Formats: sequence, C-alpha cells, structure tokens
Amino acid sequence: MSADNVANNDVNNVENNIENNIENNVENNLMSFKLPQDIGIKVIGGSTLLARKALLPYSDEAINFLNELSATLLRDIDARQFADVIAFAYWCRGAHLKSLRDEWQATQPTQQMQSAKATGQMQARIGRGLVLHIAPGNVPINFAFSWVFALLAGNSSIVRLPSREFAQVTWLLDKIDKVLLNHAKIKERSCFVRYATDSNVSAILSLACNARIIWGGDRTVAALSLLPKQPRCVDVVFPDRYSIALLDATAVANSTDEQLKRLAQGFYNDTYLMDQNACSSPHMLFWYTTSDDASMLAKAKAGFWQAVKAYASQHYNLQAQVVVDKYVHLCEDIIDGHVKAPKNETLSFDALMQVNELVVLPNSLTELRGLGGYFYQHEIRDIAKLAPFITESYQTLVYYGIDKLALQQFVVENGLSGIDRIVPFGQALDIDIVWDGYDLVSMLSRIVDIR
Amino acid sequence: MTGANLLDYNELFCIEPYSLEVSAKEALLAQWLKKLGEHHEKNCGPYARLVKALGADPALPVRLFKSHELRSIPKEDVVKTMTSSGTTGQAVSRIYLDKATSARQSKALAQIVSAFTGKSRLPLLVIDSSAVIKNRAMFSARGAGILGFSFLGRDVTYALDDDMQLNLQAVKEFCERHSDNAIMLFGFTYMIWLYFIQALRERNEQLNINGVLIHGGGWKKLQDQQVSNDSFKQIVHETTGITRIHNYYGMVEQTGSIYMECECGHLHVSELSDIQIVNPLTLEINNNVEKSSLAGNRGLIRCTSLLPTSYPGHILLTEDVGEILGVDDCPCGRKGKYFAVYGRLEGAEVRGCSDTHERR
Repeated sequence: MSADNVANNDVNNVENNIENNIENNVENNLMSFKLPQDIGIKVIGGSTLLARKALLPYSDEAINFLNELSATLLRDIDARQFADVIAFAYWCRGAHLKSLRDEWQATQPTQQMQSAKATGQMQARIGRGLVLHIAPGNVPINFAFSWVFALLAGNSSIVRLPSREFAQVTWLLDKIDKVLLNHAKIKERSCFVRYATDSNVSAILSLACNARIIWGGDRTVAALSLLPKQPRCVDVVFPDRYSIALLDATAVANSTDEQLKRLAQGFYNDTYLMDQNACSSPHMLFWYTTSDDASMLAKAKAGFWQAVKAYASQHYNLQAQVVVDKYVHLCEDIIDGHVKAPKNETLSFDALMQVNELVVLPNSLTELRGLGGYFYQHEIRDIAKLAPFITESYQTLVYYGIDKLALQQFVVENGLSGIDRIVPFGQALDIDIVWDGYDLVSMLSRIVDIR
Repeated sequence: MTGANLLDYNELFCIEPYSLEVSAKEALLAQWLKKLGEHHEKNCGPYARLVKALGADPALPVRLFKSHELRSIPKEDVVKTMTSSGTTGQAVSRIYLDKATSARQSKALAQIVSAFTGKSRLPLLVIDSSAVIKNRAMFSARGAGILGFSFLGRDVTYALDDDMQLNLQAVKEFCERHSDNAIMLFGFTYMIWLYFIQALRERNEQLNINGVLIHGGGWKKLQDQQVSNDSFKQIVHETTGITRIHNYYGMVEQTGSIYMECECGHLHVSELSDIQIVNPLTLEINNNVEKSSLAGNRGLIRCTSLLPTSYPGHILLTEDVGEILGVDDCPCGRKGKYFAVYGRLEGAEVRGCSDTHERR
C-alpha cells in the first residue's frame, strides 16, 4: 500500500470516526488516553490505557526501568543472536543513562525547581505528554530507541512497529513486557502496535497526541504531515538524508595493516551492514591530500579498498538481485556521464564492491547514491571546496585522520545548512539522543518558565 | 548512411533454421556482433559511452530501457514505440523501431514459428480480445505479440470479447469452418489459462481441436497457482484436444527472435539469437565453449538477438534465471543450444531506514 493512501482518506470521515471514538470512551480524559478499539489496531505489547501525565526528563522511574531491561537483555543468552538488540541493551545501561542525564543537566539553566528561589528566574522541563512513533519499516530495533528517547524526555508513547515481523522485534517486545510488569508507571506510558498503512489509524492517533516522531523517509514524512493534528503538536521528522566520508590520504597511507583492518571493519559497519540504505551510510568518499605524491594517494586508496573488500567478502551476504541492481546503477552512471573509465582503460564491474572514481563532481552530489557496496570517491585538496555542495540533505560526515574540531568549525563558520553529525569511521549508524541535528529530549519536552 | 547497411540480413535469413552446429554458429555470431556493435556505437551516444567504459559488447540490463531513451536512429525514423507491460505505477520500457527493424522482426517470427507449424498459413484463433490491438498508437508487449502472430495466420478470429469473456459461439464457428484443417492458436500463457481453459471447464465444454497452440509471456502467475508447464499441457489437452503445444521465451526488448519450445520440452536458440548464462554473483559469463560444461549451470540469462538496428538491444542482461541443457544434441533433431527458464530472479531483502511503507 502506498503512503499516499494515508493522506487520501476522506478527512470528514476521519474526523467523525475520531469524535465517535473519543465520545464513546469515558476513560479518555486529560489524565489518560485509552487506545481506540475496533479501528484495526493490533496491540503487540505494553498497555492500552496510557497516562497523559508527563514525567520529568531522565526520571528515576525511566532510568531504573531501562537499567533493569538492559540487565535482563544482557543476561539472556538468546539475545546474543541479535547484535542490534545487544547494542540497544548496552545503550540502556543505568550508568550510561545517568551520564547522559548529568551531561544534559549541565546544559540546563537550573537543575531543580526548588532552586528558583535563589535567582527568581528559573526554568524546569517536563515531558510533552503523548507521543506517536512511526517506526521505520526496515531497521528492526529503531522502534525501541525511538520509544526510549521519548520515555527519557518524560513522555508516554504509542509506537507503530515495522510491519515486517522481524524475529528480534518479537523477541525484544516479549522481554520488555516482562520487565514492564514491575514498573507500572512505565507500563502505562508504553504501547506497541501494528496497523495497516492504508487505515485511518495514523489520522486518529495524530489528533490525540502531543508530539509525533516520524521515521521512514520523505514519503512517510510527507504522508503523515498531511494529517490533521493538535495545534501544539510537535513533529520530529526524519526524511531522507545523505552522508559522506572524508579521509586524510596520508593518514591512511601511513596506517598499519591492523589499523586498516579496523578502519575497514568500521566502514563495513557504516555501509554494508544496512545495505548502504541507512541515512547515515556514506555514499561518497573524499580523499583529502595536499601532497603531490600520486603514489602515496594510490597506496592509500588501494590499501583502504583492499581491506574493505577482504572484510566484506567474509561478512556480506551478497544477493543476486543486489548485484544486478548495482550493474544497472553502473550502466546508468556511465550513460549519465557520472562515471568514466580512465584513459585507455576499461572498467571492470566488481559485484561485491564497486568503487567509482569521479573526475568531475556533478552539481548535486546527493543523486549519487549507492546500494549494497557501491561507492564514489573523489580527491580534494581543500576542504573548504566542499562547502558549496553541502545542502540541508547532508546528515553525517564520517572522518578518518582529520581533526574533528576543524570539521565542526568548517560547518559552523561557513553557516552550512547541512551536516548534523561528525563521527569517526564505524560510528555512522550509532543512533543516539542527539540525532539528525535534534536533541530529542529537548524536542520532546517543554519548558516551565518562572520569573 | 549507417552501419546497418553493411549488415546483409538476407544472408542471415537464408540459413535453414536450427541447422547450424554451435561451432559454426559461434563464428557467425562473432562476425555479426562485431558489425552490429560498431553500428550502435556509431549511432547511439549512450551505447558508445557504455562501450568506452566497459569494453566491447556490454550486455545492457533490460531495466535501462525504462530509465533511458536508447535509440540508434534519428527520432523521425521511429515508426513504432513498443512498451513493456509494466504494472501500474512502474516505469515502462520503451523500444524504438524503424521500418527495417520492425519488418525484420516480423520476418524472423514467421521463420521461427513456421519451423514448428509448417510453411502454409494456418487459420488462427487468438486467445485474447481484439480490443488489445485496436489502439494502434500504443504497442504494448501483448498487442505487439498478437499483431505479430496475426500476420502468420488466416481467418484471424478472437476467442475473447472486449470484456475478456469467452465468446464460445465464435470459437465453435471457427472450429466448424476449419474442421478439415489443422489450425493454429496463439495467446499469452496466463490469459489462455484464466480466460479460455477455466471458462471452458466452468461450462463443462470439451473441444476437439486439431491444431497447434503457441503461447508465451511467462509463468509467474501460473507458478503462483502451482501450475507447471506439464500440467498446463495436460489440462489444455484434456479441455481442447490439442496435442501440439509449444511455449516460447521472448521479450519485448527482442521481439521476433523468440526461443521456441520443441517437442521434447526444450527451448531452442535459433540462428538469429543466442543465449549465455551469467553467474548472478559476479555477472561473468559461463564462457566455456566445451559442450559439456555449458550445461548444468543455473544463472542469469544473457540474450543476444541479431535483429535490432534501431535501438541498442542486441545483447541484453535479463533478470530471468535459466540453464543451458545441451548443445546440438536435442532428441528433436534441432541443432544449436537448448535451455530451460526457471523464472524471475527473486527480489532481494535489503535493509535501511527508508520506507516505512512497503515497496513493491
């Protein structure tokens, strides 16, 4: 079903439906929200009666619950089959959450409401209330991070799970439900559902919530933003983004085999692991050099790509359809003039790892996207030359051998509208509370200001 | 004017179909592909770029005809644009034909089909609706197939009405008129199954046709219903009495040079075409010319047709999986390669954070 159907539903019909549902539901009031019945929602986990009463950000209740969930997951031998669940469990450790809380509180004008007396002008933060999450269809555990971020901001959540029934999603929800039994306050703030994309459910829930987190790219964001919502409802949207990598050629050329191997593994995790389909997976690699030593640059490139290929050949499950897709892509790039063979040579198609040297950069780099091990590279002698290319679409810059502070300065001083994340190789996909340029805890909470 | 003039197609059409052994065929192909390649390189910019980047004789993925306008003739020489029967919402392939290529395709089809049905024109019953070809401005693959075959027969009669309902009376009258002769039937595999065979069975009608049925278009929908080529043949025979049933493999991107199924159930390569099997994980051709090693490797089918000069579609990489079964030694007596098709390459499951809503 296409995303458009969500938006094309008769709006009147939707509104009637909502009124009926809300009127018939005595339990819906300012303090709670009862999940509407008989509209095609399948509840997979959590509670169907949700508290609207907000918590403080990084509440003890949330941290204690997540710490217990983390311990439960990390103790479970079955969890080890799911690398993404393990990563999630590590993220939820109490110690990690407490350090996040401390970092966050350090940035707040005050820590406690009581201290208002001291200066007379103080702020407190509190969750927004009820959050609707539209989780992405193809990244299994992303739904859980989305839910946890909203919880840490002090909110209740209705999470629409990916429609494909991933084994780790089912498994994790079962564990979550068990831990929720000991945490009533968190249970009444968590609800995991599935429903058809062509139903009215997104429209009904959109009107009921105080914030929406919409994953799933441009089409989903466009479809959901057409739905009516409360005037104060805040949308945190994750449209399609574009990411790049930047390597210092000399640093790569001088790397030991062991360092190259780690670099390659990091790059593999940034790209192949999600078939290069994640927003933060780089498609384009810039080799930075100020040297005229062509053999050094050649050595750096060869060393890097050999290491990536060696790692990918051992770990990547190459599928025939992906190979054909890459070959089609290469033919299109050649016809469109993006990719050319070096003088007096021909290219050979590499089914596992296709690397295209761009002699000239097209005006819009974001058209150059790879899939399942299809990359572009280009040599630059001045990082500032990148500035004109960076649009709002740019999300992550993955770096190696380059000063990260200088890169941050490059973005800020040039007033660029893109690049939200500057991370080392291997961390492109590491989702965190600051994502896509948003601090999600701040986005999903509000300020109570006193003077 | 163009390199196409250097190609003497009369020479090619003079060859008795299925008469060349593979060694002689390889020599013929090499000579023709060189000339065809030069022609397209000279007359089609996108093709020239591909040759420059990838080397001589690149296989064009069939999907390229959806995303790019690929012509080796000036726009004003296009007399027909054929489109693939893509499902709604998907991009369609566009194949540009000039007079010469179009005529050559018809001639090739006649030559290949008559090798199975005989030289004389048979009365033709088309298992489809005439509505499909009424709109001559749009040549869908289905319309093109029907039109192509309709030139091969006489007293062309359509078995289905405009609403795809079986016109039993027309069929019976047709059979009556030609009760003394063999007839030819043509249609698309799935249409025949759904609108002809099922309609006859629902009405408990049993026909007694002396004729030959030729059908193509793919097995995907029938595979979904667990209908194999063997059970198709058996049920068609039980319902209509037809004993001679030939499937064919072909595509709108290479109309005319179709691959016909022989009496032994093998698809045959004619003198106008070739197939090779490509390793789906490397896209390298299983290039061993040893007869024995050609057989027994499943992979993607790479199709060669010597017919197209108006568009660079003489070597295509399909997304169909097939296998060469043998060379020159089919019990039916036809020379050359014979093969089997196992359907479409299965779609990949890819990961990523885009697309909350399912695609495809």
